[in-house]
Amino acid sequence: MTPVPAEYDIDQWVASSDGQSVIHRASGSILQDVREKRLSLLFLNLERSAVENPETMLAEIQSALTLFLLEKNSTHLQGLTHDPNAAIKLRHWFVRFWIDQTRRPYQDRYRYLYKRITNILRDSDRFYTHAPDQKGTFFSMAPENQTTAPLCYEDLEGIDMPGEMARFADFDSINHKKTILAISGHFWQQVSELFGEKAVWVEIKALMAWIGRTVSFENMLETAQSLEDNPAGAPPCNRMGYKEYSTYDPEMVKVWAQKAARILSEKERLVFYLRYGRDMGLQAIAEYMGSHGRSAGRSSYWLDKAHHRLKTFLRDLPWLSPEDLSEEAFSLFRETLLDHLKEMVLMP
Amino acid sequence: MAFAVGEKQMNNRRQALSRARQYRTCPPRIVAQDRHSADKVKRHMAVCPYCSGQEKGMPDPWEKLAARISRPEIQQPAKKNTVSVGRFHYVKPERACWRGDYYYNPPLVLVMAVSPDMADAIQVAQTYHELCMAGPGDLILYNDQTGCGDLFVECWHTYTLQVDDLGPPVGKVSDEVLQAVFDAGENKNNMPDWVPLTLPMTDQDPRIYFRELEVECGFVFSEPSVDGLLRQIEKPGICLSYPASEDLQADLVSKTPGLHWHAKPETVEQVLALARYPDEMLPLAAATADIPRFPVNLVYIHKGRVKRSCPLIAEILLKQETKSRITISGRIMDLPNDVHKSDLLVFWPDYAGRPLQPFTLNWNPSGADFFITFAQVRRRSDTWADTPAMALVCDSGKGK
Repeated sequence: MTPVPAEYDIDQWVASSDGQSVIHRASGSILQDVREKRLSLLFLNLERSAVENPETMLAEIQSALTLFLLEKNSTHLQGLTHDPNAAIKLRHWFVRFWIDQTRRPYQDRYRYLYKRITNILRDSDRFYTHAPDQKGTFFSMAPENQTTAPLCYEDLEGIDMPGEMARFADFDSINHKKTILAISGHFWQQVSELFGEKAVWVEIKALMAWIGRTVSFENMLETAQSLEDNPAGAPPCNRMGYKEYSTYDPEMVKVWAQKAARILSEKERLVFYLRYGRDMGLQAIAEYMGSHGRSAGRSSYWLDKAHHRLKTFLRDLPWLSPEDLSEEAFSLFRETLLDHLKEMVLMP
Repeated sequence: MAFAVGEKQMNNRRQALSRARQYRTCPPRIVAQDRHSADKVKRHMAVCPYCSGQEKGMPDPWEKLAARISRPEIQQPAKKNTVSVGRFHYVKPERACWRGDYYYNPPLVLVMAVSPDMADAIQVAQTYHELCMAGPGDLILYNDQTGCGDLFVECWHTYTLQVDDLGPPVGKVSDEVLQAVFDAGENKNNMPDWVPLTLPMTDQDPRIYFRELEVECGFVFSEPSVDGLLRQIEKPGICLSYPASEDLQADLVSKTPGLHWHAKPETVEQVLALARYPDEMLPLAAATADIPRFPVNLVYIHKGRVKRSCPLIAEILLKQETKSRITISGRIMDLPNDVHKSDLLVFWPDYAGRPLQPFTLNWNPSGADFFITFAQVRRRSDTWADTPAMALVCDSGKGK
């Protein structure tokens, strides 16, 4: 980086090649944040067509970033002009600025409601809040609490909204202090029940996720959805950063069926195929396999083993596991599996 | 119904199970791209639902997992590998292995106990880092309690390893935490109040399948170690009266000037097996193209001291490699008549050149033949990779 004259100000730096380079690098990283942190695109006030084009998006971010620098010509921003980590700092400040600017009920509803709930619970006499370093904010209705393992999607499945809210709740009806206190109390009671009526700290993030089952936080224009061609409601990138299959993919189901056929042993394949491909009873299978007398038990043994292997194989696959089951996907899997087993049984 | 958008999404155990399976049993990219592993990788791809995703253009999840998970140990590697109770260690990367169609990646373990009877034996508890997979009997710890990130200790899942299986320490727990791990291991309900609560398992809970995976993973790493320890118990042992291995080395060199060692021996057994005679002292055996030959050190011991030693030649008649093991059989040529009561010491260098002991060793002095099995590990091509280091020890005082 070239030496910086004393009178060098932010306007000159923004126009310089150094400044442009920093802005360009920071914009690329911010575009990534837009996707990963799901920042509201209403901040940029763009047409949908612009949102769908990453190059346009990048240009818009660069432009907004430049404006941010010029308008906020503050002391700490001026420090950027001779900071080797300028792009990293600029990215951090701008993303914070973006979030602050869009934390509105008509823009980034999720962050708005999160903050509002946190403030309401913190100010309420009925609730206690707790914010350990970097671990979000927790709340409780008891003064002394135990921490818990993180709550999961599956744990919240059985908790319904109180009364009529399950059917009629929307963002506007939730967004009242009285309602927020009522549903927070209800949710806390239910979670406490899950943990054997113990007083526990509950993450506000979990409360938000639970509210999100009933109430949409989407606005007319949302970022990650359109940028990633991810239909509304599909699970986004998980915490490890890789994307799960978001839309039903029959071809993938067929591939899995082929692989599932391969994890079975020869006997398991035969018994499973005869049972479900040829609809044979266990005794008939035993006779087919050349066993006699008490051998239905042996067929049952191989069939149980095949069931266990397949159940294990399917347990975490989208559309084929219990909490995500799609009948269409499951019958395609079954048919394809039986086709492969037939081939393998006939030509071992 | 799916959950709403937000900066941080809700944990989902089904997806966490997918990640766990990939983290534990899929080959990392460096292995997947290794041409020597091509057949194994192909077999893995044929059955693995996640690696098929990569074929379809999914990003490699393992790298991202590895980058996140291994950060603490990369940032602060310990200089010396000291194993003591209450410390976290990764099982050494070279212990990663293929088992069936899956590649088992070394877990992070907590050392629970060091055996007072067997110096190499340690009891460890396996750990996992995605807290949403913790269930009853798991003890959740945060970074300030471990020094190596948030994780949970599977108190119900302890097993035996050897000290040499572990890499450098990456974190440690207090005595209070260690005691809690012991107590929870005895009774899953026996957790102190400061331990985060976990929810009970449901009927089709992904954590049930996760625990099956964890047990399988622990078994893969524990089995060879237990085999090795049992072999040590059964081994008669060499009785020498030298205060240290260096004294034995000095004595051998004084008796045979020119004797040298390619690698630094750490035990008296290694001193005897790794010793190399000058070329001019090696017996001349007719060279054959297809039968590998290598020197064997014949050592006579009397009253705990080396009486004399000389080199012999052994030949490998059969070498078989499977997914997990290397087996060699062969014979020692021109064996003298006075070695009927003898012990065979054998080592083979691992990837880092450190001598590994065999899983099984059968030595038949009357036929001069041996049958030895080693763990399949990556080996160096620049050292004695094709043949093991061997010593035949005859102790005249033994058995009297």
